[in-house]
Amino acid sequence: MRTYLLIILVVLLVSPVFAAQPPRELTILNWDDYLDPELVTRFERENNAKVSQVLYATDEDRTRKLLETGGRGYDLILTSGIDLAKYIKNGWLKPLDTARLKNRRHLSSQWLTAFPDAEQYALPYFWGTLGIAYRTDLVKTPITRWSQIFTPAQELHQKIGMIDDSRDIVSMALKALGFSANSEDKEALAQVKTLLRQQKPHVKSYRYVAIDETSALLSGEMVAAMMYNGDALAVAEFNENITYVLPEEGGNIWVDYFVLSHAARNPDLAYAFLDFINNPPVAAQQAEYVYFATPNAAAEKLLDPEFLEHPAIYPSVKALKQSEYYQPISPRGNRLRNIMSSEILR
Amino acid sequence: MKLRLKLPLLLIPVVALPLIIVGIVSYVQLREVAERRSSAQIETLLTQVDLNAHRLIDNARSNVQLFSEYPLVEQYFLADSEDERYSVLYRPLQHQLHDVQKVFPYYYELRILLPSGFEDLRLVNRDIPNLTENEIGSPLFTAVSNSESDLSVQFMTNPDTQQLACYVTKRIRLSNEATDDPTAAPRLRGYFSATLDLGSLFKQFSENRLGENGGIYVVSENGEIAYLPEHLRWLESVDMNLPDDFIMTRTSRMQEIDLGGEIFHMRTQHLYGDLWMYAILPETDLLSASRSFSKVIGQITALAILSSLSLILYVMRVQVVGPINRLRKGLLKVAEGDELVQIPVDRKDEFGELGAEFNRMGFELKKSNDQIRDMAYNDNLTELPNRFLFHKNLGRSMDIALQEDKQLGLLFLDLDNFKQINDTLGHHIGDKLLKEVALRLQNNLRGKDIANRLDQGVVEHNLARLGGDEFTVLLHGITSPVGIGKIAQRLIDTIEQPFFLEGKEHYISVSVGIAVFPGDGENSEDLLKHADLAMYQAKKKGKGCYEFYSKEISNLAIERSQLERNLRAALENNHFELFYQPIIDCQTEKIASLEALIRWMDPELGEVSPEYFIPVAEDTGLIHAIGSWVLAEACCQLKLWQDAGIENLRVAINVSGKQLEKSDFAEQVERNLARNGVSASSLYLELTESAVIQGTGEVLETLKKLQSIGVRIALDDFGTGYSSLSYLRHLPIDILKIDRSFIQGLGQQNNNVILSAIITMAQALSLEVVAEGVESQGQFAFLKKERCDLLQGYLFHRPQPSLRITEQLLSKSLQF
Repeated sequence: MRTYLLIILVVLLVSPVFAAQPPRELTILNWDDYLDPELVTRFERENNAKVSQVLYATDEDRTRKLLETGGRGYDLILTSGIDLAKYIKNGWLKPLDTARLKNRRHLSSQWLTAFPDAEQYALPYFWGTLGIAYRTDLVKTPITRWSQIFTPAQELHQKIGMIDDSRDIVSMALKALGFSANSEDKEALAQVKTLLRQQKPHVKSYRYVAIDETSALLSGEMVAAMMYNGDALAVAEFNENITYVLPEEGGNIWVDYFVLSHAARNPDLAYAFLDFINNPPVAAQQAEYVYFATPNAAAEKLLDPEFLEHPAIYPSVKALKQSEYYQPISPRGNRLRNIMSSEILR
Repeated sequence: MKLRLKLPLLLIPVVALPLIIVGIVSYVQLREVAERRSSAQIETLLTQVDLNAHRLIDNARSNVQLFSEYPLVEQYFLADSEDERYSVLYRPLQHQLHDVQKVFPYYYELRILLPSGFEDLRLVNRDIPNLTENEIGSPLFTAVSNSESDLSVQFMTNPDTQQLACYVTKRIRLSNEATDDPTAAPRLRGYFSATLDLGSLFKQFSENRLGENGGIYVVSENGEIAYLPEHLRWLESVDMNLPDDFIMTRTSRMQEIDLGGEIFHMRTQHLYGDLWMYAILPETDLLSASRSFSKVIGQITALAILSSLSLILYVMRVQVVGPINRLRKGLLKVAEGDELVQIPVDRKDEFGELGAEFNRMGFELKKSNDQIRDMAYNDNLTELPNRFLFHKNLGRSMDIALQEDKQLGLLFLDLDNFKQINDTLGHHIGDKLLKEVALRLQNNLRGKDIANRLDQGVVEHNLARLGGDEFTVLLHGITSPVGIGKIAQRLIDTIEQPFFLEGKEHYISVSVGIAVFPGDGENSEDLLKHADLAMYQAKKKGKGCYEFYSKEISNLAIERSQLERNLRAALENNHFELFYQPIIDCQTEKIASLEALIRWMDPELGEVSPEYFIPVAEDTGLIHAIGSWVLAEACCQLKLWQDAGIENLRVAINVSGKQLEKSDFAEQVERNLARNGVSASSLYLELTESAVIQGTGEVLETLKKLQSIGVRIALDDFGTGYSSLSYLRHLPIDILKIDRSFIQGLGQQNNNVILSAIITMAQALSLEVVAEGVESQGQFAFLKKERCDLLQGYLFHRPQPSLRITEQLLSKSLQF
């Protein structure tokens, strides 16, 4: 009886402590729908945490949000590899304590070191390509090249989706014209300017196409869109006529990284999250959720061969041959691109 | 001008003048009001525009201040590397400024200028090409970098758009808390500039037109046009020679200026900085209200004139012209005819009175007309119907006769020798006689009516006096001419009964011509003319008898009238010639004298005998002209013969009684003798018995006068008329010519005794005796035995032209 009373007392004493302790908050700056909600719930349950996500629509959107707060307000930031250096330079990131990340070992070094300082500051989350998704049933001529959406046929008129991102539109236009995506050649850029200008009237929207059931690709309002491979596959879940192609001119190979904000309020929770997400079964489930290729070698082993052999997710080496990583551009080059795209994206 | 035209013409000014005066006064008043109102309106407008402009600019100033304090903007200015600026901050800043432009689209250009003048960032929300990124040396950059104030406003033409724009620029001075010395003054980092679209302002300019051609435009300090709304583009082609002092001393007063030949009212107001607003209002528009008002007044005037005119016309028509016309029509009726004219009098005004007067006058007129008609239709001497009424009756009677298929007899009565009675006994007696004749005719016709009725049905008569001694009788319903003849004879008989006038007995006869309708004339004129001709014929037949009209009578009349025509032509064309028949001395058988005999050789009728044409000449009065010619011709010839040395030759001229009736006949003869220098003794005048005997006292006077100057008088054709030898004693004659009938009748019955008695008697009266028509030796022997003085006849000489006579005379004179 006394024991029971003790237990009750302990419970009574401890419980309020348990109950009184609020869940720790983890704020992540992230793409929309980039985390399996089921996994998030699991993490929250396991860690008595509340995960909040601040979503951004484009890389630039993310940078702007960071600028507004000076990089504050987030614990973890999901960033594109190309912006890593920029963010590090702005002092918005904190180097990672690799000792606290036991699952980091599953990540292939190819992706860990794909961008300068990535190894020190970032954990690769997914990698993928930027290409074209289109409706095979609504487009007569199969789309295989960027030029087909930059100088579109009549059947694509006002049915093209683009991305509201100067880097993506300018770089892919460069690819369409046969230049390097990272070219700073003035002549090449002048051609890009002309190309983008003449494309603009054919474009339905520069807002990144939705990947849920509301997507314009499903309604047919849009029949072709510049898209990330996994997003394309996500939409294709709703309509099997949607196909993703990595254009013959080559696309952009990107790597997304999780980085720790220099102003993280819950770095411990952040580390816990990073380790959780790189736990191979979790990483595999996550990959299947977003249809992107995971840099987690151990997770890959858990994935279906079908997933691993999907050409959109794991393009052939040949297909990747023409594709490029984004490289840092000179400031003046950036200014030029910004001025150019601001006219298009106005 | 007619009353209905004159009255309105007089009334138009009465109606129009007040309206026109009202119009003019209103025009002037309206003009003043319009001027005041537009002045106030322009002032309000300018103030409003000014207010709006200031509000716009003030807002822009605070906004630019606000934008420039955006963290991102400050961060951008503070960024010390191009990499940070262009690779990190540029796109987000573009985004942010883009969001700003979404809210304030009229900040169509947002720029960040570096202290060097480099246009580092430029965001436009419309397609405006950027001409240069280097603003150093540009007017704007010069202005803002030299501006005392950190926040400056400039109005300038945007070189990219060539349009007036407002630049609101904030000079950015910032200290980098991290790197800069906190005590040092903030460093100049650059400029944040917003370019304002003045569209909303311009819209006010273009929306606020002043009249048709006017409006507001913007002029800079130096007088150059800074902004011109579309509808004022025409100003560009106009020489705007505003006086310099106008620009210097812009006033807020309204001023009149001439722009391209049109007068404008101008007012100026300071806008901002060195900008001025010029408001111009065309005078025509200023006056348009008063113009349209005066147009309305004009229309009202016209309408008033029109309506009052029609009213006046209507009133005049009803009140004045109508009654006048009724009166006029009444008067016309009065003028036309003679019936009683009365017009309706239904009014109480002057026209009513006039109408009543008119009716009274019409009544009086009718009365006097009736009297006049009585006078006009009736002969006031005999109270018989006159010629006028007779013609009316005749026409009517002829119509009735035609309708009833009956005959109508027209008797034309003319008293014989009535003129003589008038002349000898005086008009007094003549008139009384006519009265008696009328009475007697009337009684006779009336008295015999019953008998006629019994005899031959109803005969109605209609006696009239045509004038003078002419009467007519119309016999209706007759069946045969015989009855007419009877009536005519009855009338002749009754007139031949003696008349007792003033205790004396008078005898007179009447000749009657009868024409019967239908047959003797188809109209009244012809019928009367033919009756007249028949009467004339009756007179010719010896008077006191009646004669029916016949075709022959008509033909005679026609012939006569042709003769008359030709006779006149003969006179004009001198178709007459004098032949001379010698008269020889019975004892010596020498030519003692010559009788001038007129010959008429008509081109149409051939030779016309004097017996035939002389009566016509006498009737028509042509005898005077012919006589004059004969006298002149004979005198002239006589002179020629005398000049040729033929002495003691006498020429006889035949003179008509008519000639003698002319009082100056003796003088005429005297003149002719004197003109030709012929002695009176060598001329003698042959007169017929009737001419002398029927001649009045004046004729005798003339004869005596002729005798007194030495002209001798011969009595021609002695023995055909009265042949009263005792009567000869009283006549002033010198020669007696025995009619040829006596000579030709020699040897028959007791002609020889009578002839010798005549010769004896004449010689006893100291008259020279001439025997005419001697054609045989026996006659010559007898006459020679009876010691007749002179002989004339074919036995000796025929009448010959003067030339032949001259030859004979000359040869004979040589012989003798």
